[in-house]
Amino acid sequence: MKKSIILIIIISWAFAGCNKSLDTTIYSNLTTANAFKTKADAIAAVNAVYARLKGPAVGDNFDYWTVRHFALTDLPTDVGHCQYGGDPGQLSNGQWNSTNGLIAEDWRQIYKLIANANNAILNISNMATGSITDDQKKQFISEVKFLRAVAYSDLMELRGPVVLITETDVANADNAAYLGKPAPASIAKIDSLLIGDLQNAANVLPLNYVNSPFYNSNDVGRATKGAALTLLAKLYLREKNWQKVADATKQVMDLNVYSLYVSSTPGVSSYQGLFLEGNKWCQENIFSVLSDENVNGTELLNHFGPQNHPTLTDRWDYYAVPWDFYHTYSDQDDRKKMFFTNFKGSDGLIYMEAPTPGAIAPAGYSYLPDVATRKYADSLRANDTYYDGHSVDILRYADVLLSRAEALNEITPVSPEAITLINQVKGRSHAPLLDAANFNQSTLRDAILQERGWELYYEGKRRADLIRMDKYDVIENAHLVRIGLPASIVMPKNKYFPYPQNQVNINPNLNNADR
Amino acid sequence: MKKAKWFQYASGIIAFLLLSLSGFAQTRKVTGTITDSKKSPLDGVTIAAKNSKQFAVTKPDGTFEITVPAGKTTLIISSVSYETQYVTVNANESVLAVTLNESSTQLGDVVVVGYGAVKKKDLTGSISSIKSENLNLGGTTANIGQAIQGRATGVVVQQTSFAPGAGLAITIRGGNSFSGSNAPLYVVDGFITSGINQINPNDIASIDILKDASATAIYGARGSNGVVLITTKKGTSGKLLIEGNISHGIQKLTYNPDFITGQQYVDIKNAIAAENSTTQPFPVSFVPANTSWWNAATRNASVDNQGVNLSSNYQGSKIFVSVNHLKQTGVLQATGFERFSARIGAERSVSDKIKIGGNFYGANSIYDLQPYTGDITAPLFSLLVAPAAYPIYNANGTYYNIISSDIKGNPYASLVEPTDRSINRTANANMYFEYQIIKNLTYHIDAGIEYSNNDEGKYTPRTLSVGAVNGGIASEEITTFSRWLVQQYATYKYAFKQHSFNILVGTSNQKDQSTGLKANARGFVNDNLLYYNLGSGSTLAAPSNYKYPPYLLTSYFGRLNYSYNDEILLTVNGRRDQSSLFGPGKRSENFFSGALAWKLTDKDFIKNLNTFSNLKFRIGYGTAGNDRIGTTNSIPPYIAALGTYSTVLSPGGALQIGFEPSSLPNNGLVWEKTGQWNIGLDMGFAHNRINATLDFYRKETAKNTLLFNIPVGQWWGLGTQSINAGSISNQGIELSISTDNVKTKDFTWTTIFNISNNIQKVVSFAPGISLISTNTANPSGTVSGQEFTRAVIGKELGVIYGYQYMGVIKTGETYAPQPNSKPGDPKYADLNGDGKITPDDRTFLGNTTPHYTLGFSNQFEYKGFGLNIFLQSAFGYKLYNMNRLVLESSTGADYLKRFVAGTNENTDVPRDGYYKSTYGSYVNSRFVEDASYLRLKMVSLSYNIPLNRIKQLGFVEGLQVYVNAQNLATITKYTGTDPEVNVKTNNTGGGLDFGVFPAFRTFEFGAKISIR
Repeated sequence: MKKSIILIIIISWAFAGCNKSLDTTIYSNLTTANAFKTKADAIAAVNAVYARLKGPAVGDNFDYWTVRHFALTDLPTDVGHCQYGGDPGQLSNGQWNSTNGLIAEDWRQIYKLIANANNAILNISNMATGSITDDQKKQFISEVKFLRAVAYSDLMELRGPVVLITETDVANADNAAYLGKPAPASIAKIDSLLIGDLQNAANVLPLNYVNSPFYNSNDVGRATKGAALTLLAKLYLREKNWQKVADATKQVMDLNVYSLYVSSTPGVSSYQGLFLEGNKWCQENIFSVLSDENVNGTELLNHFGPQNHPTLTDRWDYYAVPWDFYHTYSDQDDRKKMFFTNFKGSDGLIYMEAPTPGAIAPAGYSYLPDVATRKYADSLRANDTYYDGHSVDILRYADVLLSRAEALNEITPVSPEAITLINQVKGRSHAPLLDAANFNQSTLRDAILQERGWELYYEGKRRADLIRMDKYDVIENAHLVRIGLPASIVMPKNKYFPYPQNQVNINPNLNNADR
Repeated sequence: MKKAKWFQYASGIIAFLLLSLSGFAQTRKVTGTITDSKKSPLDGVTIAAKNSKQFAVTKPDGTFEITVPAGKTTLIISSVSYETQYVTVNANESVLAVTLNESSTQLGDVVVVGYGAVKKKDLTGSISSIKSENLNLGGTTANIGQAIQGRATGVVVQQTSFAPGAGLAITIRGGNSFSGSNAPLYVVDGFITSGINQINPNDIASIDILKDASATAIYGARGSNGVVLITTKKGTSGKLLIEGNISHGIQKLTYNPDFITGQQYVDIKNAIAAENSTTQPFPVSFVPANTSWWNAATRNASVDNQGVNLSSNYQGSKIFVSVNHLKQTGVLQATGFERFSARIGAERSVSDKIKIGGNFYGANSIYDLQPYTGDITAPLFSLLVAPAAYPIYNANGTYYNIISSDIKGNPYASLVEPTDRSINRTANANMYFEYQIIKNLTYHIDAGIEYSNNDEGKYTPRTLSVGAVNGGIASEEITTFSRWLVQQYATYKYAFKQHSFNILVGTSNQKDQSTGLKANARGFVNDNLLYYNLGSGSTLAAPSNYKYPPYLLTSYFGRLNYSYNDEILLTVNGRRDQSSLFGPGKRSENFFSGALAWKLTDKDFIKNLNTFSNLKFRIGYGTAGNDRIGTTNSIPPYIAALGTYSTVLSPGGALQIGFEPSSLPNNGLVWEKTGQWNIGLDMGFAHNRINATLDFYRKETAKNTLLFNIPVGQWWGLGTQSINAGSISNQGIELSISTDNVKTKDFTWTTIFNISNNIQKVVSFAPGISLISTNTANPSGTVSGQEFTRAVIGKELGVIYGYQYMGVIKTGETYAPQPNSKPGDPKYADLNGDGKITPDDRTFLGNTTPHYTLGFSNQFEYKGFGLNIFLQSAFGYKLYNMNRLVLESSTGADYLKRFVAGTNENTDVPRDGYYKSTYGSYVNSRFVEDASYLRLKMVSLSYNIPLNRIKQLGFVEGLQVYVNAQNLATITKYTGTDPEVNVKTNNTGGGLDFGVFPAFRTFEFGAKISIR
């Protein structure tokens, strides 16, 4: 009997250790159930969309606009070259295929931003009134839709029709949807969504965030009315809807917010000053992705910096500029001084261009296969930190001026305003100015394309410019042949990159047969 | 055994009473002690008097007392596992001392099954049992996987990395799951453990591996990958037994690739540049060094092991205590492993009805290792591809920095300079209590905790450039895991006539909890404090921590064993599991199994064959489950989780917090369920000197219930989604044979042989899935990983998928499918004949899981000498040798064979590697190699010094000295690191050999002593 009592005690004690319910407890994890309760939650969802314009706060910082996107927009053109093999080498040499890792990575990174945007739009829209005002909702959703438009626009520029996914698809997602094989949506369909979103954003978003009712700091990195209008202009430019380009760029100019940057530092040209690491934001920036070398530094400098440089030590020189392109600049052009053409390396050798391709350097010299640009490799930076704090200008005013010039030349051949706009950009860098008398519509197009290359190389614009102007095959093939490679660019096959093979494996509706 | 003992007691008492009552027979008493050959007292031995109904059973101290007829009589002394002895007792003898010899048949062995034990002869399921003497102990054996490799049929153990202290990949009867956790369930002394690699293999008494569903169903969920039941040593000796062992071994590298010299490297690189009409990378003034990075980075290493254990079994109280120290230095510089461990196992029969016991185990394991995960960021990769042309040190003694697409810094410095020390501290404590409520009804409860704490500290000093620019970078991360497990069950035994029943019902509750805390700092005054004073850094990063949702599992289980006439045996299992990983309404699942065995030995039609000394036929079917999908995600898949991803939005501004989705929720997930058939035969021949077991099995997951994180379109923002993705089947044959070839007084020779075959197939995928692929690691800094295995319906998981390599394009040759190729470029087969090389030209190039595994052990004993020769083999599989790929186009001797127009055209090595061509890929048939191997896994020679013959040293029961060699020789065509390596242990894509810790062989000598 005594033992039976002991037994009962033990059993009851043991049952106290049982799992009473199988609903587990959430301690540290954020979920859609415990977030989206306050305005701060909504802002956090918006911030994560901005965050995907670049790499993470710490760690390998290569994503999207902070380097890897340039592998698709600039490396496969006349302004870029990579001397390494593998993924960047294939792109640089016109030898890519659908399994290229950088093609897949860019696709992934851009869709990651789109997914964050869809998540923010969906969950902010669903937030209860009381936790957030209607004005706040409108502001936040407009910012996010602008960012989503940046992403779709970049995605389409490189791949044409792509899978269109919005907050509505996310709201209705289930297992079958996750495993679905959506056909890519037409460019027209996606463009019409983006144009609507951007027009709406241009009406909602403020000119800037000075004393913003929504945010506590002057967040220059956020989307503005000017940014929405500029992106709209760029979309129309891709569509060759010239009058709308002219209208939208005019709207941007009439905001009277933006102007070309002019350096006030002696010895630093305006063009160099615009790209200094310390100049994170100025009157020329319309929309940029910002970084801080200590907080969320990028690896732009690692990728663009020259090898064996005495002060910018241990950089990789992945994204270089062909000597041929360097030589197209006029000697008076400040922009020609933006390159590491000749320096005494950390190993004591003199680094310079070879007199003839393949020449063997004499003792004490080493020949550079390509030339490194200072655009994202600021040799004036104070400390030689591993990560850097360069801003990347996604939309800037010089692009607005040149885009407008291009549209005006299409509407009125050799329009005087077009010449003036181009000369504004040239004049800022002391480059020889254009004289309208020397041009017809066609030669002015070529001059605009050339100017866009000189001004905007490695800013994610070159490939789109070449394709829009129907010059991609001619110009890139000439470049490939000069460096001893086959003229492998064929239009229209190479108008778009192939869909990443890993996505084709999942979704055969992404068809690479003609690309 | 327990049952038999109770019966024996009961019958003995009844017989005694009957005889006492009859009163007329002349009787006398005989007492004595029964011991085994090691002088350990034997408990539960039956002593029966011939031609009498008298019998007795020995007590735990081996003593007995029996009443026998007066005069000369014969006692029959028998016990399972021992040869029966007939002892003649003269009329004047009344005290006996008898030593029993272990029987050659293992049929009497007790096999641990879930929540109980049965005699091997009464098994109905498929179970492999390994006793401690058959484990691969000694040398670098640091964990269970190494100890059982090659010892059991159907159990594939792959040493996927040779890093000191690394765990092994164990799969039972073929990978059953898509997900990473094909690992079986490990149960140590009844406790379901997660820290299997921390257990000292020398503490193990036996390992029983439950393979078929009828055996595993009692474990329901998580039984589908098999269950490994480990029983640790308990006290076995009447007197105090002290055992000690000490050993020392050396380890020598077996993987030594051929490298080119510095001058050869410079010449090749400049020649390629000249061929490309581009700038030469090495200017005239460059004077190449001739560094052997590999020799600098590797060494002959050592392994030392010291252990002591004490045990006692006295009056029903058994205790076993042990301590062990293992220290291994790695064959790579600056690597090592060290473990201190201690165990206590105790059990006491407090009364006839109550038994209590407990186990405590603690281990402190220290790993000095950087990651060797087959990644270009691991130092091993850069050591392989470091050109001999560069020196390790500059003239001023600082490290020489290399900048290339593969290497950023100094490979030797990246190996030896950073600190990366993980300390794992594991403790496991559990107790049990058994109470016989009424006759034949026993209640059992056990409860315990397992706690493990992993503390990883890292420091990057200024000698590395990234450390220099940051003034040193330090971090420490502490993660903890705890498990609380309570199990209780009642067992009832009932017998009438030829029928006997054994019924078990029980319940189990488990709760796992994980937490973590990490802090980082940089900018230290000097490099002296490593990661031990983060607060002294000038830049402190925000600390991070987590506490994951607990994992909860509640189960109810039952088992019925029925035996008819000790001839037909039936086992029925049932279990209901409830897991917190599934959404509401999907949490519970039921699992059942049934098995039947028929002992045919005594049937006339078998007896008349005069062939079998034992024959048993078994058949069973059952289901088992798997819920292990949340193990890689911190949160149950039905919850939509968010992560943080923050950014800066104003110049000089702070990081602004961002929330983004980190999982795609799925509340439709259900349990993965696997059904399995097993048909087996247990056979004994020649008086059971030859025993053989043959099993056929087939298992298949229930239609599309396999849990897997399936790749989904990137447009969802995440690469994978947890889903019930498909079903696979595994079927195979297992044969094990053990023989006593020679058994004389001075010489014995025993052989254990096992061979297993497993064929796997993907049976179906959920709608929407057509294939599942896996990528390689990046073979170079600028070359991304490529798809290299594919799972499709009808084939097995992880089949290598790539291009068919056709050599190089020769000068003057035009190859239409590759119009842009130049002479010296790699050439690929246009398999679909469309005149182009596209991804559609890829094909299946070979499976990566061995189809056959084999173990062959021979033990010879001659007087005091023992020799064990153990061969192990796996065959019928291929590996993708990515080390060879990178060596062939960087630093390996094969680079000298590259195509040079007009000079060296008769070669298969391309002019400038594989990474530049638009056609094909480096994933091609050239690097897919047959990895079949036959390995002399262990040779061990021992000698027992007969010290106990010296009178003064009689207390020394045994002193053994031995020499032992592991991985002595391997016959294989495989040219990579080792045919066993595999850096992708995910089941959907195995078979990658890239940058793993190099293989080595071990020579060891040691001594064991036992004192009583």
